[in-house]
Amino acid sequence: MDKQSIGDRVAGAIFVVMGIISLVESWRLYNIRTRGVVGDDTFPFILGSAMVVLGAVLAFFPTRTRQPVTWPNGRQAARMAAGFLMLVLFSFLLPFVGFPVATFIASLGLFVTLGRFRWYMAILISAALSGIFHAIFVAWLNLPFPKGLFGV
Amino acid sequence: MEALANLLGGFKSALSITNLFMAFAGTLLGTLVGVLPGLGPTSTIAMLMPLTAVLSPSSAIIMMAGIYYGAQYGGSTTSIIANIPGEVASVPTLLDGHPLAQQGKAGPALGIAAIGSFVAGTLGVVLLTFFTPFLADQALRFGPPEYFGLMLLALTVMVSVSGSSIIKGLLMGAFGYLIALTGIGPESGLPRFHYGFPVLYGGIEIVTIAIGIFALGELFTSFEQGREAVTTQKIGRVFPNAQDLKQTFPAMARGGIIGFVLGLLPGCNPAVTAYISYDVEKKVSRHPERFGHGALEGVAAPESANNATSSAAFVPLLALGIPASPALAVLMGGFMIYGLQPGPLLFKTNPDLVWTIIGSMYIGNVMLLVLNLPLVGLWARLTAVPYRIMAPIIMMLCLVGAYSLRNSTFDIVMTICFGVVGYLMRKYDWPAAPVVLGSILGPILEKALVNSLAMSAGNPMIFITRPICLTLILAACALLIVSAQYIRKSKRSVTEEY
Repeated sequence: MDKQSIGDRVAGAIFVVMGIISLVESWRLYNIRTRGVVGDDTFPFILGSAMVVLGAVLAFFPTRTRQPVTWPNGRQAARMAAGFLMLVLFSFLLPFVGFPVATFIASLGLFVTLGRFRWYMAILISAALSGIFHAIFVAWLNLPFPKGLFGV
Repeated sequence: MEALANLLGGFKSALSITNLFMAFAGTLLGTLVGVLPGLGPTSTIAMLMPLTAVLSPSSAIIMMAGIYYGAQYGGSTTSIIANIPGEVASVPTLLDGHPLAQQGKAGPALGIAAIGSFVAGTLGVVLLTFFTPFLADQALRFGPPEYFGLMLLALTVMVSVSGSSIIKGLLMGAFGYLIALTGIGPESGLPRFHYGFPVLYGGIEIVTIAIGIFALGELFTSFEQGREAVTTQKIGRVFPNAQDLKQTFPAMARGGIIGFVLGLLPGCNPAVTAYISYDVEKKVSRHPERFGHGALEGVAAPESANNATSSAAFVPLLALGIPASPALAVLMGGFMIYGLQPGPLLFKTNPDLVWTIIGSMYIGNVMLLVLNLPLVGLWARLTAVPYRIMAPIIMMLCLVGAYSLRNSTFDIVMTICFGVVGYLMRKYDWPAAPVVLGSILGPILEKALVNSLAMSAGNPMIFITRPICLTLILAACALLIVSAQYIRKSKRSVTEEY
């Protein structure tokens, strides 16, 4: 069984599960429906049913393809994972340290891990980037980003 | 003739130094807002509302209108260069725009987008000039059942953007719609799929889906594949040539007409018209297999459609006082601050203002072209900037754009999650366009169905007894069959080839 088939079978199973979740929610909404032929439960029911059926079809009859599925090797995977973690870090840091500092830290991490810049270059570019973003989004467009601990 | 005389009077006022500057400022700001993912014209127009205290009514509204239609163009730039849809309406543009950029043809793609936007936008304003009262009356014939039929028609596009597997396309469309179901239900006003988390009461923003799946997903994939830049090919021409213009002009015209006709309908999202226009262009093409791999018509059609839609949206606004979108609702607020009520009487009580605004829309379209065509070369050269520099910047821009939607870190988290989903989708060859299509069309379809059955006291015959609705439903069935047959034929030819 090739990787594509396994992938399609797993995806099909996931869609079946999502369909069941939708059907359960539809049942909950049906029980609190007060009036009308169509309610908030109607489309969750339709979608849930469709996902269960189509997901099952895909799980049992996966598509055939000649392109093999490959995954990144150790170092590449580590870099990608690190880059992903930098994005997650930004979302956690933003409310606590404020926009410019969170931008600086996350972009520093991205330039080092994905950009493979040396530390001192990454610091310079990240500082410039967070300054430019602050100028555009906060100073000019007045978007209400959190100021965080540093009040910036 | 009366309209022409009024228009000439409008031009005279629109060509004043102040109004020209306001049109320029509006289109420039609108383009910038369109380029930045997540930021939309709605919040920008709202932020500039205090300017109404210092500007004259015509100057303020000219600027805000410029922001609105400028944003429709701006979204195409990042779609083509970086696979980031600046606006949801720009998603169809990236299906062929970004592949063109990867082939070193970002310049012609951007140029065609600019020219198509100009042609269709101007066509829209011409129709707006001469036919506003008549068109507004026709638009009123569309009720919830007709919207239901129209959304079914638009949903058939899902089949043709499904790639090689209809099942995968339908599943992704259902997935997109399922995400859009999160939040407050249209019938009861109660939250759905919240599971006790208050943050889910507000639903999941469509823009986070688009940015995550297309932009972040593309970037992760590019890193894995070791790509050095968007394109490593030599950037040749930075402008479209006569052959490109000849090839794409029919697509611009068709996109413009489709965009304008559908844009007359209040609530018709420019993304819907862009998708439909893309699908129509693919179906009428002699070489539909080029679509999705860098067909210039695949850029011309949706870009023309969404700009024509933005012109058409002023018809129900000015003639009936019905804002077609949240951005126009805010713009309407601008009218009301000055004590002006958009609607049929506005043409009678303030004709000078109305015709000045219409005159400025012609000028604004020219300004958009003049502003953006010279920048095409600069944007095209960005495609050669190494990913190690571009990618972190684009990623941060995506997250900032996501946060700006609702000032919520939840939207950042959702964007990252959809980025992972987008990466896995590319890995296993799942189509991405149906997800966005499902998330846009699904809620409109549901609302139309609920309202239609409320109108008919639960009788489903309402969809059969109304001729426009029935025509749309039959057209949807026909298009579904055509799309399915096309996919089957293309699969068979691939099998025969091997």
